[in-house]
Amino acid sequence: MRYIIVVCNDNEDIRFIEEAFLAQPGNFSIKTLSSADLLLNYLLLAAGKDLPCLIIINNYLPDMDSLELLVKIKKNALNKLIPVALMAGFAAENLIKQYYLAGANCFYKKPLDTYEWHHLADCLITLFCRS
Amino acid sequence: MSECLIWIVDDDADDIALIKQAFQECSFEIRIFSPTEAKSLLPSLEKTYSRDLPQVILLDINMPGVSGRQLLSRIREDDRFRHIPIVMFTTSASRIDRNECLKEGANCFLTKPNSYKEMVKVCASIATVFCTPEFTNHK
Repeated sequence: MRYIIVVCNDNEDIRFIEEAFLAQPGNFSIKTLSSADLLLNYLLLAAGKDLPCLIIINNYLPDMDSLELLVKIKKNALNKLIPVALMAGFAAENLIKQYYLAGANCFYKKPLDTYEWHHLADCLITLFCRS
Repeated sequence: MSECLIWIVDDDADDIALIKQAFQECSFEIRIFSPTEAKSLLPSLEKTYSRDLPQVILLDINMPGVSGRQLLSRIREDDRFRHIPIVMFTTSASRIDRNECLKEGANCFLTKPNSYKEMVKVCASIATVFCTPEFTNHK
């Protein structure tokens, strides 16, 4: 079985980095998307068949507030069980709390170097894509 | 070294000792609170100052008196604590348990690993993802 991890980030460079570090040896297929709309469309088309084991969303997206996007994803019964991880360079405590209240499975700080990217990718896969 | 506040709710003393030891091998300084009985979790949370609330709670499922799923529901129903990430950390590998726990608001469902090496890896992952220093102090 090939697990799918979906990355949603408007920054092409970050998408490339995420794809590179998540596609470690294993049965992982990385789908990168550049906007909230594309992510919602992807989930609509994948409904009931190729659902991802993890969705990683940048907390800033130009076409939709990421909190609103999170709520839309979790509101759909078909997507509710898909873990959603939020990534941000910085966030206030209260905002992080709001993400957790809205159903985020985790909220973490954007890595600063390749070691951190590699470690974080490994951790996310261990927690969300191994069970 | 940054501090991570983790509460572990498990009725198995051996498992708690193993998990504690595994966390100590991580690069985080872990403060672990293990209530003596699962049913004391909510009262313990109520007695805790908001700044000292856990950054993540690890819940076993099968415990005498009150199950991990019951505790999960109670925490998610309480506005004071429902934002706290909860990891179900159990011997169960059941898909049904996993889905039910996630539906009830667990952030993550993990089957306890069989090897200590894997346990360290899992604990390091929990600390890394839920306890990022100066960033996830969302209490």
